[in-house]
Amino acid sequence: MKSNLIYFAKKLLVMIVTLIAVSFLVFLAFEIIPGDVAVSQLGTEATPERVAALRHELGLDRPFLVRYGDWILSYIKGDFGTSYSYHIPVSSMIAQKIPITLAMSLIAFVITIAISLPLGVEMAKRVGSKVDKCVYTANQVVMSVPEFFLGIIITYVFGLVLHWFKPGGYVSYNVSFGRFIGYLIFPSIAIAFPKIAMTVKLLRSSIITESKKDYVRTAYSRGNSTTQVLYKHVLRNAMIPVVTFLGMVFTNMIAGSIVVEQVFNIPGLGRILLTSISNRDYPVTQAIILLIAALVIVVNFIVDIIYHILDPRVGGDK
Amino acid sequence: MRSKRLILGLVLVLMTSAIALGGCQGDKASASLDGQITIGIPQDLEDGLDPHVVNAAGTREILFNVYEGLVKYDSQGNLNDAIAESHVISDDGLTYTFKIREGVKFHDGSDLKTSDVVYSINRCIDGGYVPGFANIDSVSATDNEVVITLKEANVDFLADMTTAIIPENNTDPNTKVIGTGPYKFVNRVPQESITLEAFDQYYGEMPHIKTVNLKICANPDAIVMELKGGSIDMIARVTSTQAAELEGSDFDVLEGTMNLVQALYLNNNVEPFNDVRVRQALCYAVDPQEIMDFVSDGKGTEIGSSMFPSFGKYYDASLNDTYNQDIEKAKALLAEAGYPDGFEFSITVPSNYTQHVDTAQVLKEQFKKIGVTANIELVEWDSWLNDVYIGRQFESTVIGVDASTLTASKLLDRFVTGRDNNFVNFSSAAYDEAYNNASITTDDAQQTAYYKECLTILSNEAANVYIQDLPDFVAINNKFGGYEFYPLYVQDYSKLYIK
Repeated sequence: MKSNLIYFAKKLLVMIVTLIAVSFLVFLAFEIIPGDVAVSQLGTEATPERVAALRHELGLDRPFLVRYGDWILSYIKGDFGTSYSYHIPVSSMIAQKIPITLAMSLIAFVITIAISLPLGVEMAKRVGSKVDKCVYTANQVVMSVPEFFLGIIITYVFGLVLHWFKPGGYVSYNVSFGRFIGYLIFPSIAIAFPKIAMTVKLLRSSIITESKKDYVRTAYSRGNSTTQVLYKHVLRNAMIPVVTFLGMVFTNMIAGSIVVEQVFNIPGLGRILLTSISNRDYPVTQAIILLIAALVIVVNFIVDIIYHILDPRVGGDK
Repeated sequence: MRSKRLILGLVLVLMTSAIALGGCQGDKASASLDGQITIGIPQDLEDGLDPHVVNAAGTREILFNVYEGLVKYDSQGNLNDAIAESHVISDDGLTYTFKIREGVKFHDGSDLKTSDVVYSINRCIDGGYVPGFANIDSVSATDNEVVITLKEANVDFLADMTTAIIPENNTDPNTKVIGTGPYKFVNRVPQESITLEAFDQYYGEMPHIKTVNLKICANPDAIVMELKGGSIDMIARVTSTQAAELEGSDFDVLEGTMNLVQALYLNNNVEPFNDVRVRQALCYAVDPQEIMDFVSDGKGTEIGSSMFPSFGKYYDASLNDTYNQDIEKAKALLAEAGYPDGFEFSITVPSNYTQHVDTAQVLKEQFKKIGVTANIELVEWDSWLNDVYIGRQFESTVIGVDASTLTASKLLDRFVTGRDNNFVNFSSAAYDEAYNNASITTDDAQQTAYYKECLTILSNEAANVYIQDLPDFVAINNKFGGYEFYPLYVQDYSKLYIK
């Protein structure tokens, strides 16, 4: 019990240190890459004097470390700053967008689990059969298709040919929640498809590896049926690498949605991130990157805990 | 003299618009103020909503519907009175008296007062937002008149009075959008949409469509799908390829011009472009028609100096023939300048402008013929602004330069020696003199002659390799009509109607 606490405390500490490191890197990145928000805002009307005046107004003429310190302090106070482009608080801007990206990632995640787990188990049961070979080949193909390309194909086939949805016809969740979810289904499928293929492949091979272990033979010798052995013993162990993978998949989906949002013209976090980078709208960019980083770190933390529950030996006393 | 000409111009405009209105009365009378249109825009209004501060052409063209100045351009390029009911310019060109129209309302329902006009002008003077306002000596107002006196006479001053008038008590124009235009701002969702609604207390001709939804279509590759799929009804500036894809659909593709001076801008300060013979050699190497064929199926209009054709008053088509493609002559000039074997240079192009990138590619091939190697360097728009436009760290660049008001000076002042916006570092004593003469004269004919002289100097000195004014295609669902091209970078939604 005590070792458990130490384990979590350690993980928590690592999490905080990682976040601070990420925040510093994010801040540093915009110091290094070329471009300047003042120039971006003033466009072709920019003169050295007006650029200098605007930089001063935005507080960008202060030393790097002072600005970083200020920024971190205001974050601790819960103030994410104000967008340079929109002149509204970053927090309210991001809050509007999180539901979109999160909903899309969640739908994609549910689709992935709902399809890949049964399919993976089924494939493992029928190793070497014709069905297995067919699915295996199809899997390899799907895995190598990038999400955005799948997005384009889906838009073309289901949007323009079959008219199952209206390309670019995104509806805000404020207007109609049903139509909002309805529009997100196809982009979610585009995100989920390659992940399904990967999860199936991983689960299948994980189950196959596990079933060759000694304890499986013992389980059979005790008179258990194949199904019993599979679900009671093998699956539990085979799931460990899959859980890690699914954790990564979820964070990957949020990052992947940035690209898919562009294809389906969904104004989510990704769109805001891309435009704020090109406009050098630092407060927005930094907040979103930190948010995504925090999400990855938190998900990893949760995965670690689930891991711990599935296999108490992980990160144990040693 | 000046005011008489303007009044005559106004009468003409009123007459023609009356005829035009009479002509289509039958069409529009049936369409009462209802309905909606969804218009795609390529980017959000990312530099804010404060009409005095925004610079992006894409922002200004939309705010045109929301804000108005004392005067306003029409689609013919005439300056008409807007918030001003009439104006008089004194004979010495120094005093402008604007009589303010009665009953003009702001979008929040309050009455426009002369103090709001004075406030708006002073705000722009203090902020340095309108360069032409540095010339204002004083602004004063009575109950219904605003009098502006200038330090020096300048016939282009009236164009600057298109500057938006905002209410004095609005402390935050960036989030509270209150203008006097035909459409009022309802709300916006960042990177998603902007909603405008017809302003029912507008003093002028009422718009025909009640709600205008602007939808941000960030992915240019998806535009045709969005049009065909029905999620947008109209979008401006589609490419010729997209226009071709829309053939036979429910969309009309209208063709206008972008009103840009597209050129290979040369940094006149760096070697070898500090030698006029080298610049001329490049001009002789280029065939604009070939570029237009490649970039936009042969559409577009050739230009030979810093002026586009819809500026009929100054545009001189004969300058297009200063340099017709002549490879031998180009080679001879290069040899004379000391580059018999050619040289190598880079063309910096902002990667978000497909037309400019395509143009650079054709240029590269054309320069090969005279033994000159051009390397294309693609940069982000932001880096372009920073390094090329402001930093002037470049050899050459392909870009289109526009004019924010329809005055020749907006296009020509950037070639005066030492100007902040002279990013090509052009310098010619003859040019400076001609430009200066143009800006101090109060005689219109004389001024036009001086500006034309400026254009000829730019052409003879081969300041840049002038190419074309790009074609502009607007796709609009055939349920709608009334789209009008402007000689300026604006979109006028108030003229659109449902058929």
